Amino acid sequence: MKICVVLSSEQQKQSAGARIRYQRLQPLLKQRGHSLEIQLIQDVVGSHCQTHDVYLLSKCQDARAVLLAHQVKQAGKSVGVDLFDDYFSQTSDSRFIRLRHWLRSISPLCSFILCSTSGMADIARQYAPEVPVQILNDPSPPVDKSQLADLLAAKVKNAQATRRIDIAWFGMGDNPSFPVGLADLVGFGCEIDRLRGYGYEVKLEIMTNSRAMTPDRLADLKRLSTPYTLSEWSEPAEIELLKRSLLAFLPVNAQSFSRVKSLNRAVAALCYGAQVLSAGFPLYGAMGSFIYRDYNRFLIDLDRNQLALRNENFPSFLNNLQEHADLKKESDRFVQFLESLEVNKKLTSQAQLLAVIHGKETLGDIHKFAQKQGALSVASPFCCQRLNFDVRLPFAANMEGGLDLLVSKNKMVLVAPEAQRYFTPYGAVLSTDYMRLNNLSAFPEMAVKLKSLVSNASPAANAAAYPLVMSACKAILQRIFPDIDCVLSEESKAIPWHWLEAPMKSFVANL
Amino acid sequence: MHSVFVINLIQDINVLRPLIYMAANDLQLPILILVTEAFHKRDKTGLWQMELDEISLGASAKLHFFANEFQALKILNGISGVIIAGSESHLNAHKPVHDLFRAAPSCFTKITLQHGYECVGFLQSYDQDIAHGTGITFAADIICGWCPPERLTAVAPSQRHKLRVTGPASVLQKPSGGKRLDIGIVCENMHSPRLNTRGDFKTDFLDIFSRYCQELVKDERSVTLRPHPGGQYTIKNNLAVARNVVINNDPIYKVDLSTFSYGISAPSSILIDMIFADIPTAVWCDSNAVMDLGNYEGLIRISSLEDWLRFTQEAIQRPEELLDRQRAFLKKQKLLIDKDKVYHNFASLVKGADFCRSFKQIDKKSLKNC
Repeated sequence: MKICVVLSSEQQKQSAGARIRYQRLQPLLKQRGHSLEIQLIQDVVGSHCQTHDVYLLSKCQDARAVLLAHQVKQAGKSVGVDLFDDYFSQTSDSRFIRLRHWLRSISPLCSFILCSTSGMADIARQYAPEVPVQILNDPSPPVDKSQLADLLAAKVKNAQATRRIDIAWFGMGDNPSFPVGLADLVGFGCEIDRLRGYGYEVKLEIMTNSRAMTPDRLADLKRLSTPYTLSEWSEPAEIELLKRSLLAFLPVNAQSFSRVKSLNRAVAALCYGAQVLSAGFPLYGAMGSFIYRDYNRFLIDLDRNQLALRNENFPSFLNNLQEHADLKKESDRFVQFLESLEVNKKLTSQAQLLAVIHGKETLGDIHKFAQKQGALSVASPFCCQRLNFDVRLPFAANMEGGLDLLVSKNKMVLVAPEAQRYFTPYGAVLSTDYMRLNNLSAFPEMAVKLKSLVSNASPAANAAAYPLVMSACKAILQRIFPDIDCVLSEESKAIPWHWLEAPMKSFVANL
Repeated sequence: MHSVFVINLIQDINVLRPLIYMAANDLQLPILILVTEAFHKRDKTGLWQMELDEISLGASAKLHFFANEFQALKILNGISGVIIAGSESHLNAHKPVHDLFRAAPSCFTKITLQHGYECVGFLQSYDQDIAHGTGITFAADIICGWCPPERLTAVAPSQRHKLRVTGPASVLQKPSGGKRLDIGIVCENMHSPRLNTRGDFKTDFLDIFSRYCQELVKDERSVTLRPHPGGQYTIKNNLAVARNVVINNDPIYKVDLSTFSYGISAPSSILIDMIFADIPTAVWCDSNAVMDLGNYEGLIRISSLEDWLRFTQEAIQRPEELLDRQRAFLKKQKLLIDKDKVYHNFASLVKGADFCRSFKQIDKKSLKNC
């Protein structure tokens, strides 16, 4: 089986998701005669949509993913999305309405949804009850039992000899939307402060991404009573940190985003020989007795040389790992699941013309991607990008004229035969020659008289006009191009997104 | 214990220089000088980098550049002491230092100096109030003022507990002893919000200065024009000046103001330097008297060309009368300008309580070196 993981950017290749979820699986899948290839979405165009059996979209949360899902589905292949961050359950949070719309748009096209945790799977099922959901736990790094045993023994000996506890806090220190990472460390910092005063010097090493080190967060860190050092995160540095630290501190807050995170930080810490003290939400409960929830218990165990992760507990630890983070088990389950989808994958739709309608804020990459995929790139009246669109829907020059329709000469072949006679040459916009629809009386959808609202700079006026204008755009395209399906490309938060959550029909009926 | 100095604005070098020498040469403290990326951008000619190099050589200081707080924290890692900034507040221009102070570990005492007579967060004119607001806050633990609290009317109530009256550090580095010349000095600070907030007073100033120079030409006299070290309006805008104008762009601590026969400036700390140098000094006021000169009440005010010429004549012919007036002004401001007291205040602050006990034994080399 050939699996293609589709990422949105080069930067994403370095993310924890790509490293832990996909790269760890690659060698094992290869051994078993399968392949897992990681590609950027802009490279998966044309015939590339047919070269793999399964396409897994990972953090491609814009119109390109929806478009690609359409194409892959039409090519008779399986397509799914991988969800490991929860931006979908906060239904009253307007910041994520765009992402919720994206998941709603893409899930009907998906053959499956992959999730990192059962919590994430529950959320996915709410969006797509008909779509099979599979959990792929983050696999652990390889564990060398004898090396780990030596490391654990040396750490305890060192801590008892020097009377010092080295604590590690590692990972992403921030998130653009939620207080996580360093905020959790500061919030629950009192838990490690409590380790002081029991005959041990306590030292904390914080290793995080440079973006997280803003003046505000650095100032917040000063609230920790435990002395700390700060360094920049890298994968090798994280491994070294865990190998030299006796304890990893993993606080988790109970917000929805954090509650469905995977076990990967705790698993990594334990596999590299650090005991784990967690505070806050019991995210790592599945790891059972290997996770300390009480600093006092840890101190007692340290003094008794009976720490949770020790040589004689290895069988139980490995059992636990096998259950929640075993590479072989996870990869077998994953492949088995994908193979079970093969039965359904032949049920594909007919090849269909697609259009991407660009709204207020769109990306040049989406326009390019749409054109490469053979879809029409359509500029709505809200779109201000200077691009060679295939179709333009500006407002007519006079205030009462409603919409104008310009179709690129190259795309006129796609126009319904009965509509072709209404088009006359228009001239060029940028470097594209257009034909213009002239007979407006035959197309009442064009008479959306909201130009004054759209041209008003006020966000409220724009928001008021948005649903009707965009609905009209879609209705026009559906009349001019037979059997077209439309995908919205909209990055703006300042539009009435709820409109997309209601049936479009009702708006069209109002025209 | 380390003494760490942060340089962000060009003017910071002038403000911090005497303290760097004091901490290095008298207090024998290891010195680190942290320089922001913004400083580099401001120092277009490289002149001030040369000054920094000279200071770091003279004080055996290590010079470090930082682009963000994390880089600065790496430099501060494992050491403790004081961090002194020439300018720091929540305002955008001071942000790199402000953020560093917020993030710096608590094993450092953070100190911010009043860096001018009218200085945001210490003593502000109405124009500064409009430009920057009145609630200026500092991330420093201690802020060092030039005057007693009752004169520093712009210190926000939330910051009052941080105030310590040290006097201006610039009194520790006054060049003196030069021969008085028959030439005056005019200083421009046309970049300042004072000259831009409530109107464009630059044009007014440039016009009158140009006409003043023409009048001096008739008497075959010259005048020195000194651009503000940070603003550099004349230089940056490539303004044409009359042939009898001599541009002086040296660091102020290398300019012996006492050699000039008089000084004129729009409201600016340079007026205080001129008064310290004991030369007749006049403050320029725009023709409609819109600019707030309240903090300079008591000094000679000149506005029209006739005022400028009359002041020049009086400064040369009867300087004592004007100097008496200036001394009265200084007294009214309650500025702490006693060199020994200022030295003691800063030294005890830097070294802490221990220093006070051994203060008398210290050879004040830095006073000579400056």
